[in-house]
Amino acid sequence: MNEVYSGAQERLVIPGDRIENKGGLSAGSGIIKLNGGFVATQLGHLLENNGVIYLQASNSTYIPRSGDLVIGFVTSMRSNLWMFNIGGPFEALLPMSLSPWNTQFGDLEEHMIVGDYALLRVQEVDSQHGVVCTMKGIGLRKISTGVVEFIGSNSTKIFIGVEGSNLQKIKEKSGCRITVAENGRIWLEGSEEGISTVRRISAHFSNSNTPYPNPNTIKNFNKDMEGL
Amino acid sequence: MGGYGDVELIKKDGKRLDGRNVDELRPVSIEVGVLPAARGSCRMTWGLNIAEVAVYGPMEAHPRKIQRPDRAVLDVRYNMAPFSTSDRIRPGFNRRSREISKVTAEALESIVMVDMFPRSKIRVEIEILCAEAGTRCCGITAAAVALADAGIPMKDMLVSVAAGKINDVVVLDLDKAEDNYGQADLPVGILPNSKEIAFLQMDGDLSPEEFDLAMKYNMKAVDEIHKIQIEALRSKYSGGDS
Repeated sequence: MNEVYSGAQERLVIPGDRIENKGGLSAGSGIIKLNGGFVATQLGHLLENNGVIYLQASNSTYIPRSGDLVIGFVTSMRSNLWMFNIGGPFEALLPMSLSPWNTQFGDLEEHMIVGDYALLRVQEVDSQHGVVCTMKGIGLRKISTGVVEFIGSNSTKIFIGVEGSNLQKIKEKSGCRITVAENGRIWLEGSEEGISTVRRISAHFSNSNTPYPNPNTIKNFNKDMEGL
Repeated sequence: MGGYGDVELIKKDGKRLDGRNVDELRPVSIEVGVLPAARGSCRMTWGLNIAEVAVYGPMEAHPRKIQRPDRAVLDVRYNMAPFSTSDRIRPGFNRRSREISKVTAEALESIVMVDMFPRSKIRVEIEILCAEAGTRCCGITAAAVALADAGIPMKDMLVSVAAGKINDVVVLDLDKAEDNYGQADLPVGILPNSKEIAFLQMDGDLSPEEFDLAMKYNMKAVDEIHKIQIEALRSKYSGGDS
């Protein structure tokens, strides 16, 4: 079991469910105060940590936050910026000034075109959900080798495991370089056989019928991890 | 409301033509996550009504003129499939579907925390595959489940149900004959935990006493349907052992 499911009083809640607060806890993400009590606003598991009661949503859209490592692909270009799909409600901008290249105005296609993938970091998110990304930083780059898989932003913690235990094991067994981004996309580099191994494991989450980490998905994932 | 007061809709034993008591719902079932392409989805069967709802987003609102700087826009489309009734329905939007889409969007806005997603849009597609009577109630109730399945933050669920009057008797959940030949229809949308009313429409005439009785039936039905909503969501997300 990883840290997501190690909290006390874990239970599945539905939007509108009242949550008892006997211990003077404070409300965390997914919980609102309504008429003096706590109310769940999303479907998910209720967890408690350091006096904060919060909700691990079972299925939610990725909301970018400043500092997040994300994998995106170019959807369109202007003369001085690229627009990226990072899996959130809004497209992210990558201005040429935040790219690692010395790009000239209007010559952006020399480096990246529509459809190209890149490893980015979210630089800034404004109050209107406008997202600005950067490619200046250690490890940030255009992705030109390997494959990108999708596991869902809710599943990344389970995929990584406690202190990276699951991820380490997958890396060792597959021999692949694996980069897990916070928007639920993973970048795999390695042999065909190794990539197939990782894909078999990530399929527990990427299968479109079960994109959320429900107990069955986690059970099957853990079973596969034991078998590695 | 057809207004044919002389059509016998209640039998001598006090039961309705389909054998239900006056305060009894038609059979209701909900299945969650039926459309893999959608972010959240559900299929609801309510008597002979079948509604499928898909939720997409939050996503950037297009065209940009519909964006709101402080909140998300709910883009609800209610549509009856051409084969949903015995008389073929002309495909596409009509006056009725526009009205129900608007009513549904306004009802859902009372539960969805739209201020969390400024400038964005949440798309709710309600498709009625089979219609008997009470399709708007079926669609709204199913939409609340699909929104929860999609992980959209909401302050409560929403249940919609209708009571009405047939042969001068107040009854719950009108079927097709009762809807066509009855005297009144009172569909409501209620937040099951806080009991707040999200929408209320009335077709026909009800006395204050009949209105109170219809609301009493509706409130009782809301609790029953809310339990079915919870069970459907739990069975999906707890891996079957709810």
